Amino acid sequence: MTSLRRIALLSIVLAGLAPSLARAVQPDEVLPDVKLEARARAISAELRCLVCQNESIDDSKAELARDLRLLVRERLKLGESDEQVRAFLVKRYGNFILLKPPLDLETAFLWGMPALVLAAGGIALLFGLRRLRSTPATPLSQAERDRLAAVLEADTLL
Amino acid sequence: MPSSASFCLPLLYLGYVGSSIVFSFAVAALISGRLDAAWARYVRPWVLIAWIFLTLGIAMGSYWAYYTLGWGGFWFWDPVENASLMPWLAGTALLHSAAVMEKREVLKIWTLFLAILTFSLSLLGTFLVRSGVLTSVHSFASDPARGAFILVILTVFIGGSLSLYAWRAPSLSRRSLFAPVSRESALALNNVLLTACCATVLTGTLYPLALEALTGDKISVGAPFFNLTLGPLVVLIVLLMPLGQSLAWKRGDLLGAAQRVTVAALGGLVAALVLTAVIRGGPVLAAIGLGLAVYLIVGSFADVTSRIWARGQPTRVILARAFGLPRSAWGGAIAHAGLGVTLMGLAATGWGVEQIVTVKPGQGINLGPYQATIENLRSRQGPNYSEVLAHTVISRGGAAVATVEPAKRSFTARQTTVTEAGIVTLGFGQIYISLGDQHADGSIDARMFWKPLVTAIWIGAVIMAFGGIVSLSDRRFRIGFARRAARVRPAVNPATSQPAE
Repeated sequence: MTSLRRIALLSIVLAGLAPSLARAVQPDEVLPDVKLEARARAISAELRCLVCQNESIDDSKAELARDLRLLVRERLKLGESDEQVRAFLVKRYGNFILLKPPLDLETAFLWGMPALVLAAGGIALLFGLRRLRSTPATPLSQAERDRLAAVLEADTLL
Repeated sequence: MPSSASFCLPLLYLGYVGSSIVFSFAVAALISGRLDAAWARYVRPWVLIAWIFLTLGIAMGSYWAYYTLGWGGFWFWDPVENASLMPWLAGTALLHSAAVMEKREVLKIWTLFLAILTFSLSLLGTFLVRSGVLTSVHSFASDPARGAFILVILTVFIGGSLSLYAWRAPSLSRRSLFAPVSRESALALNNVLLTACCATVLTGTLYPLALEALTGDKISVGAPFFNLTLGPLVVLIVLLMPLGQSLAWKRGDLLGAAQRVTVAALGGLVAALVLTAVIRGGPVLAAIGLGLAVYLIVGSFADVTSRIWARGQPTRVILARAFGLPRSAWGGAIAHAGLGVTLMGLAATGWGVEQIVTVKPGQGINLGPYQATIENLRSRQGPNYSEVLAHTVISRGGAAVATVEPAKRSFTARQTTVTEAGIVTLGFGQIYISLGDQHADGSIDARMFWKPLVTAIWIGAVIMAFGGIVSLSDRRFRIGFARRAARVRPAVNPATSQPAE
């Protein structure tokens, strides 16, 4: 990569990341319908701002995030369901836009992780317990019994 | 650029250093082949020190983000945050399993593994953050060259210690026996749950990287994923915490433990019901969360109470017993209650009020029990920036209770704008105001929040760390105590000691 191209790329990236004058959800974006606005907020909180560092479009200051927020509200106003809005955006930007990835073959391991660890831990604990049941407590040997008697006789431990 | 490096990183690094000492103990045990209760006793204070610093570091990082980023959030499930949370989760599990190991000489191999894991996750976190492999809102300098260097260290330490573990650990194994209902089995269960949390955070953080490298497909794993997967695990942990604490070592009595936490459970239930009734139509999850928090706070002291209090005992005896209890018992109770306090703050976010408005000076905005009015706007020239300050009066029932000046700074040279949020603490709640664009007609965009009980989130973390310090002051944990005790012992022996007076 030439250095000029690198600088150009860097400045594009920086322009995307730098806090611009725009803020997260601005007053002019807010829908008058309270219920619709609440749905828009809930949807936006689960959509990734594509040019940001791990922020949702609801939190992001980037221009693109604002465009997406407006888009979400636009679609809701057309009467689409939450699912339809999400599907539309996924079709346009891919699964990358969803902060909660869909459960499919690719993400099965990700979603299954907590259950996997719990199952493994549970099995390990059960094995420990079963071993306990199958191991009877060994009775004391004669020498140990003598020592115990002597200790009890002495009556103090010091 | 303001950076979280200034406050929370030194604390986190102290935590990492602490975990490196524990790691050294683990490697020493693997090499020497000696692993017993004494090892656990030597290691526990170091685990505790590392844990205290990690707890404080995470809390400060979170408050920094809340204070600086300007949209009122305090935890973003950001790679940097995850990188500090993972060693904390592993370290918390280690803290508990080391206790089991010291008392009952079981879970030995597992404790060793956790010691290695905690340090490895600290290294991994440093690598992920410093190399710039993952990007984050906690901005600080990343450097690919340094990243490569850390990667080499990472491979040597993690790879080396895990190979050593695989080679030597089986020879250290000893059959581990414990009754199904006992303090140790409750702690083992705690370890399973904490490990599940840790594994979930680790997978969630690295999965997008791995998937892209393997298939080229890009996915995002963010806050909604972590909230959904970790939420149920945390609820389980919280439910079990007071119960486990009330169980005896070796052979516990589940019914007795349940009886001891009845008061706590009832308290939590009543709190949840009262809240749902009073704040009708409010968020149900928040009420449940608050009920859980009350249960945890009260329940944390169930065990301690049952050990010092008995009907008809004079206060003197109860006080004497309270002072006689090992400090570690108090420390544990305090730390558990601290988590309850944090949980309370998290649950209360459900009752928060957020207003996104365009206001003219003098126009009042309702924020829960309070009203915020921007009285006037004025400009000020800084050394390399110009800023707009909004003089805001917070009132309650018509009477002014506080003033605050949120600001918006424009750095002319860099063409960037930074918001300085205006934060007023009222009781345990906060009013949080951050400014947006100014308009030609003299109005200004603002985001205003009323965040009830929000400070409890960080106060809880400080209480947790304080609990750790109380535990640390337990004489049994003092570093070098075992050695001093050995030196002192002959003098204590009545056969050899001389009458002192």
